[in-house]
Amino acid sequence: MITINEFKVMFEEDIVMVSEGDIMENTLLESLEDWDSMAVVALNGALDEHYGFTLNEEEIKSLVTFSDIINFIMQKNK
Amino acid sequence: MAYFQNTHLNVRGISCAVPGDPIDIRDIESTFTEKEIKKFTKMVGVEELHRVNGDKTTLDLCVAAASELMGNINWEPDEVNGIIFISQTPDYFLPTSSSIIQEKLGLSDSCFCFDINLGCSGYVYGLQIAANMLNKYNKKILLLVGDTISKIISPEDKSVSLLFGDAGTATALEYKEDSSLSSFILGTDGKGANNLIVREGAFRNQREHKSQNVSGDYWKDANLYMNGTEIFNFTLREIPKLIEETLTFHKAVKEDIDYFIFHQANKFILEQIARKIGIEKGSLPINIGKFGNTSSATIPLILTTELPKKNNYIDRCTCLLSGFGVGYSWGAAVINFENTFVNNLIRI
Repeated sequence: MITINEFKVMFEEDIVMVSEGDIMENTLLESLEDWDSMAVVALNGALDEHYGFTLNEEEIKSLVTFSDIINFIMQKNK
Repeated sequence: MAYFQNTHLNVRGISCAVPGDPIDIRDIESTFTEKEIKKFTKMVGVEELHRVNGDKTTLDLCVAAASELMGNINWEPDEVNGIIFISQTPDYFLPTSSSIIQEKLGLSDSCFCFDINLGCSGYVYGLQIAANMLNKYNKKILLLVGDTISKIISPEDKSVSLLFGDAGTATALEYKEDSSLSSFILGTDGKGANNLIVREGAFRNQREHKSQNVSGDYWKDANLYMNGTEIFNFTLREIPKLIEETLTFHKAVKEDIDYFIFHQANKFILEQIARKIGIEKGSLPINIGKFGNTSSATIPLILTTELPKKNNYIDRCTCLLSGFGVGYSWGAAVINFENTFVNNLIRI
């Protein structure tokens, strides 16, 4: 399992291809150019690898900001 | 899950046919930008595809593959006892494509022929069914699998428009006394049926010409729809488990397997499965770059193009094959290849 901070860096660099530090908790996912269906699959791959769960279609649709992803990580790893 | 073992299956030869020359995906009609295509290739792996044009069908590709294979392994048409044709893109709802193929290949009237409607898992299912039907009276069966999914793709739906290629294949299967053990596991989860589906055209929803437009992707219900998120989750949930169970059933460990031959769904998915099972890169051949996802044809395409060969024969090796997807349907098998003839890739 990686820390939330490490996850954030990985999300920035490997999933939505922005520079480290660009993503804030309130960053709207829709505002990111690379937030698309491929990014969603990559996100699920990362969640499975580092936290042992994936998000289903409904959960993905409910994501608005980056903090929503963090909330799922906290919630599913309780 | 359903478990089967067999000790008289011999894979005598495999042949694959693809339509024409490879097409760079940048030259295929789609709604991808240049930047998105680069990202798609990096992640999904597809660089080139072979696609039919005009009236060529899966049947034509399979007939070309079978015809050349039979000549090269010296199978006389009247020796063939049966044809199993597996595809989701047949020529007609009826009759079966296999009966048309029987006539085209000049096989005898005593040949059994039937079609099976399966996609990504089809090759493993076909091997298992053929293995069960081989006996001392029926010693030679042709397993023909393939699809021309490009015919049902919307160029305006990014989830599928550059993913699928077309191919038809033929595998010659023989009865052999005391062959090495083959093990199979087959399974299904129909809860995923709506996640990879062509909704119109058969008998539930006939020709309503409904259109869908979701987040910029546009397709008609007569086109293939794929929910990539759910397909990915299904694969990650079921396939590593399936591989472990297949090894246990065969009383084998990972190290006994020379090659893991997996359905070429998507490079990222394959890498994730490999990570979860702990498969080394060298034992998981990937050729999605050259052919895309060709549905049931991906496994024979890997066997014929990626395994080491000597004079068109696969070096003796033990492979774990696994197909998974539409249905959801899945299968895995451990099979030994020995003196298996591999036809050169046919382009028609």
